[in-house]
Amino acid sequence: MSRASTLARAIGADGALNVSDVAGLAAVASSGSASDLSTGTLPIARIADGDIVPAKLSTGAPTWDSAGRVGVKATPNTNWPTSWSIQEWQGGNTVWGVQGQFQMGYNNYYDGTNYRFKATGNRALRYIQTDSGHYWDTSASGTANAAATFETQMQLGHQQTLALRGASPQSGTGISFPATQSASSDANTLDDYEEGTWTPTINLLGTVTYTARFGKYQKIGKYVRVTFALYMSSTDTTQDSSAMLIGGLPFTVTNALGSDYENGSACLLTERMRATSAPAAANTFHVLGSIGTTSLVVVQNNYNSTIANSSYFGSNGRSGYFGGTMYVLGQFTYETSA
Amino acid sequence: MSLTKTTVVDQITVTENGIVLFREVTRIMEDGNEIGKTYHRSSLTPGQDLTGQPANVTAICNAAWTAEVIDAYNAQLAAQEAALQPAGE
Repeated sequence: MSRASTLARAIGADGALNVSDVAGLAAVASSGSASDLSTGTLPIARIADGDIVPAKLSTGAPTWDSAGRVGVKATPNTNWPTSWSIQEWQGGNTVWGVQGQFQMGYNNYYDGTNYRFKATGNRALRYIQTDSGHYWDTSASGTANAAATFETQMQLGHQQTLALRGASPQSGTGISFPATQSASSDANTLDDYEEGTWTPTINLLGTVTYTARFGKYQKIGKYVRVTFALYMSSTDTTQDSSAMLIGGLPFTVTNALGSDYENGSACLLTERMRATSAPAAANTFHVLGSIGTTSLVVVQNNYNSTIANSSYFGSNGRSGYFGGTMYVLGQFTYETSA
Repeated sequence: MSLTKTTVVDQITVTENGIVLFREVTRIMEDGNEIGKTYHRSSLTPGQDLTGQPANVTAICNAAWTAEVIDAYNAQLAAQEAALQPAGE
């Protein structure tokens, strides 16, 4: 009985291995060659030097080496780590891993030092899992065999925020944007979030002595919301301004004074302005717009620039509204440029 | 375990009309790893007193605030403030 026949007989019609003939099978497998698995037999594999070598079913059948690298349509690239890898060489697609890391790649291979493009004109991509989380990396397109430089587009770790490109993941649940905004002009794209503090100023009222002042802000895309509190021990009573400026805004205001303020480029949502000499009534205010792009003009609701003596913020013989000790508390929303 | 707190200016922006906006970030570090941070933003107008401002911000302001920039900014402010004055002022 030929070795090929022995092998064929050892595998039943249902595909199961007939263990009763293991000795014969082993004899075939241990010393056989590819020619033993000729037409008419069931080609599976042979054992050579302790390694199982798959029989080639057709061109492009997998081959593998003793280091655990499997090549599809090509001999495995030995530059990959010796733990294990599955390499589809034509497209540069690879799955591999070492202890503590699992990785999948597209259009790139590893030369032992650098990742390199497999094909010209396409991007290289990779997805990595490590103990610190998931990484989705891409590179710009490049030329075949040129080194590819990856950039993490998104990162997600255990009980951490989803960090977008350029952002650092934080503990907790949420989305982390990069510290420096990557602005988008698309109408449906949220491209920024930031929160912090700012220091408000009062202008157009002459010299002001602050007792305390502080502010907070939130920026969501182009939308900016600021809250603030200003406590002043005195203002310049020689000043007679028709309006008050709240300056030092954390972001520029897109709508300049007179441009579009009627549409609410900025509005004073709540306010509480008091002075020791304040009039009893009419202490509600609104915002006209921006002066100098980082100050907002606050006027009293019945302010009218065409009527003389409509100034309510001066204290020089007028209402005296802002003379002496006073405080201003409020919050604005406005649109910034990006 | 060592905790450190550092504050640095991490962003400086100069707008078309010469306003300088900058951001200070305060980081809390534990054994070299950032465990928290806060931002504080400020804006400075051309010609403004720079006393007490961070050195790198002052340098940017001094470079950006030429006499022409300051004059143009003041002219812009004057024009806008004039628009606020009631008639007959």
